[in-house]
Amino acid sequence: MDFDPHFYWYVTRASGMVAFALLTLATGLGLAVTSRLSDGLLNRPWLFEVHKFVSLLALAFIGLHLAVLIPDSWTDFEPIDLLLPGPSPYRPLAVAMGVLAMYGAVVGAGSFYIRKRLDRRTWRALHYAMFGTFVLALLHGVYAGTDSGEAWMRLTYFMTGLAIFFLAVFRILAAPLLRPEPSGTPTALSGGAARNMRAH
Amino acid sequence: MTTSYLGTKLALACASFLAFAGLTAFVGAREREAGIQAGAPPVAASGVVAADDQGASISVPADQQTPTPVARTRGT
Repeated sequence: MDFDPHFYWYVTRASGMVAFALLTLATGLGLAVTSRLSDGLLNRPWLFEVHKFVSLLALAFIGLHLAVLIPDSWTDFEPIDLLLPGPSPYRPLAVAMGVLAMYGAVVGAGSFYIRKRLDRRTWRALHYAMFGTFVLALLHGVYAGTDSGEAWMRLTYFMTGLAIFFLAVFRILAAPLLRPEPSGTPTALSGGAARNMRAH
Repeated sequence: MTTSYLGTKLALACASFLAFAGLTAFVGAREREAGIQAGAPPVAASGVVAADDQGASISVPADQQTPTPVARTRGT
């Protein structure tokens, strides 16, 4: 079986889609945790751990999405095109949004590991910035993605955007009306997860 | 409970990888199908794979290829 000369191109497209799906999931889980939408259904510390892991997984697929573009002669990207917003000759604005979303995802995932050094306000600000990261990733996919013209991909973008919009509105409007968190954490599983939850 | 976390993470990682593998195969199959149907398959770095009258893939020698300015026109 011959090696498909466009294999890298297929890989970058598929990894971009998976990265976007994981970023959507990470954003949605973060919103579900903080808005307590899932309380009673899912364990919050468990949900927080999944949220953290999915953020890292998204980052891994973003890395793959970029890494395979370098050896791919079909798309012809240079490393500088992928690391800086602007120099890409292919749809520079859309690619720039992808580059910024990548840095946003790096900061978001990295913030879990420097959380102890951050005050609550900075931590929250960083995580609110994840909305921007999601929007940038969505716009990058819509305007730079080869498959954006396909009905199934459009439906995916629409549904994911709608889901995050709904969760964000719920978080902003409904969460303050919810009951305050009890002093104990009845659903706490383990010390580490409970500590993460309290900081979140 | 640590086992529960690990199981969830493994399941997520496996599901992501399977989705990635499936999507790679899916977009590849669609591209090959579209290329053959259009009669203008994508240009490879070192040669062209075209379709003969029966739809089978054939190699076109480099000196018989029609240059196609595809570089920097494709998205991700």
